[in-house]
Amino acid sequence: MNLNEHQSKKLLREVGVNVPLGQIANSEEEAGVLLNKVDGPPWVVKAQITAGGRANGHFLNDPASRGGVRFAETEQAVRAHAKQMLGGILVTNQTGRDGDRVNSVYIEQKCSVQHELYFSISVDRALGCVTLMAARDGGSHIEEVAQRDADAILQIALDIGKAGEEIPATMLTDQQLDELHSFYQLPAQLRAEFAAMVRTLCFLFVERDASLVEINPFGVDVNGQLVALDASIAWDDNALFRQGHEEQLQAYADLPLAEHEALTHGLNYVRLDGNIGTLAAGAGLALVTVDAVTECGGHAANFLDIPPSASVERIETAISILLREAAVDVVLINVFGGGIMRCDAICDGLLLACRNFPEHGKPIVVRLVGINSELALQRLQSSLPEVQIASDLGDAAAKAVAQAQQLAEKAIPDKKGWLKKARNLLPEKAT
Amino acid sequence: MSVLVDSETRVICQGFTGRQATFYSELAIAAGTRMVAGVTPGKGGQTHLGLPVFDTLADAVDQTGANATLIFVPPANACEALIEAVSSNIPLAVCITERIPVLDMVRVKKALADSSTVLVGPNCPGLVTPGECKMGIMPSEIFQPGKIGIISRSSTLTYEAVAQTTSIGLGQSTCVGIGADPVHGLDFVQALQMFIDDDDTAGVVMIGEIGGTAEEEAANFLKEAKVAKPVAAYVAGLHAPAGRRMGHAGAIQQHGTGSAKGKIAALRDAGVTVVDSPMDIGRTIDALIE
Repeated sequence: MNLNEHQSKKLLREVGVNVPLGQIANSEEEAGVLLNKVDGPPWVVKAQITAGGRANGHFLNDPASRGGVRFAETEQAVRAHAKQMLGGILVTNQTGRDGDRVNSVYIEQKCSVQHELYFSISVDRALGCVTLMAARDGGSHIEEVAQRDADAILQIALDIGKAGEEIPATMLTDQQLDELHSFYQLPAQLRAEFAAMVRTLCFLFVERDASLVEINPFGVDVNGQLVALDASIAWDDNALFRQGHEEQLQAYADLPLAEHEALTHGLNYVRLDGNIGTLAAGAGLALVTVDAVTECGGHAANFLDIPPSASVERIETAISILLREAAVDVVLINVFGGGIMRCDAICDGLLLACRNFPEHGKPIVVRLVGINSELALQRLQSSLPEVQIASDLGDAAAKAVAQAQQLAEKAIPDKKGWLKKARNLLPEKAT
Repeated sequence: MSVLVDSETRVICQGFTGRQATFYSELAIAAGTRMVAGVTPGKGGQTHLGLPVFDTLADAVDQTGANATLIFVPPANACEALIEAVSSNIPLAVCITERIPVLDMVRVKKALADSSTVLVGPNCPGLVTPGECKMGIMPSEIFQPGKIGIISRSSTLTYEAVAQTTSIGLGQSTCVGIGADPVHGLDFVQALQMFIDDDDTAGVVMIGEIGGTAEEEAANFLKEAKVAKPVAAYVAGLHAPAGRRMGHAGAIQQHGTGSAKGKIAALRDAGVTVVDSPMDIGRTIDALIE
């Protein structure tokens, strides 16, 4: 669960880290009204998406547009920026090409620091430890800085202590703090303030099961105070059972229906931009299913992975998500039954989903192998004869792509056979 | 011979009386595994599936001489169970549990550094030496004793590789699912080393996926070790869209690695035959060991 900037800053303020006071606006009008509560001008208007790289991004419908972080001297300018950003799709080097929708903007007083410093705490998966990373040259180009010069990044492994025990006070030693303080070249009189900030962030990370706490940049403002100008906090979804982060629960409630259904039923669902809805048991097989569709010349509408322990009801929910999703034209189910995942459970889930939504009208291609696959296929053929059975993954993907192409042809009448002729002129697909 | 487990392995199960543990323990016994006991705190003294139940792992090991533990404990208590296993220095611990908080795995990893236990998983399908020992949730019926070693980050793709090597008649020496969690136990490099040292393994199949640096590390290892045994690999996620990411920390740590393309290039550079489709795994390793 990735928090927006304003949610991250609210948390930082709660634990005593100095951040500019801002307001969150969901409409142009609100942006104008709330401006009374924000110090300034000058102001900064920031698009609230969870991905970084906003300042250097652009809006999807307008590649020449300015990014998602803009400065303003007047109320009119603030309102104009808010109007342009709200509802837009912001594409940055961290969002992927589809971008993220901007549902709110955060307005705060424009604030600058003498030198932009980078700070983060995260889990280093290669080393299997919690690592604090610092860089003197922070800001939006931190990744290039790190690529160019490994010494530009100071990394400190943190001792988070044993399970069920207090977090050790020595998680970060005085000596490590001194090292960090001088690495950043901060003034001596800020030593105590800096130590408090860093220690607080370390405790926040461990205490609340974060997977990322990143402040980029922070620095010393014109008053000689430490201030955090941007912040990214992410929670570990696996720790929800012992944390119950309110932002997380709220965000779940705000999700689109398909995502919400998937999440509340423990299904791993990622929307893609194609029209073939895919479902597989296991993340690896789900990835391969998307790959196979792409290699057959089709486009997957999603990645959907159901856990092997899924009950018939959860399988039904998963299939219903695909049947109800408007972007899905064809459904492709790919399951290797093994252990607790039985093919007849998939079959029963499919039958239930179709019974509860008989008007879905979508062709379904199924590949079932492994435990109870013969039983499942027999049952399918007698109850849902229109379902296409595939022998292996390649066959399944080819059948699904062929179905999608047939539907596309029906959508554009090809009375004189022009489309067919045109297709014959296309170069052969490289094999 | 085989890797990690064989017919002499004496297995206990932590979280023994739970639904999943019961289901898979029965299947493991049916597959010939020497299950000797179970552990469920508070249920010591009972009998389950005809085996004694103990309150603690230490008691179970003392009484039965077990040398491997299979962990099915739910996420909230998995860390405790893992630490109990690791600090007892039991030679092998296999953890099937998925969705363990990552900081708990950081704590387990630290305990592992002071222990002689080999941990496989978590969030993995376990491991199988066909006909001898099965610790985990893999379907027994697709296995056949044989000469291919399989190491995989992905549960279901493991089954594809197993089914193909069985249908070709190669069979498997041992199949190890190392799991998909960011912080985990046994990695590709350690598993590769075991299969290289195993006389009964003629060739190795490696199944990786996007994210992390494990495949790149395996490629480096194979390149430097100049391994004579053939290795075939598949990396899932070539067409996965560039993931939404947040913050810069992960990118700084990965130094630009992690994509399927990069992993495939690194493995090919190390002399590994990387297949484009998971359907080609079986015939590819078959051709390589000819």
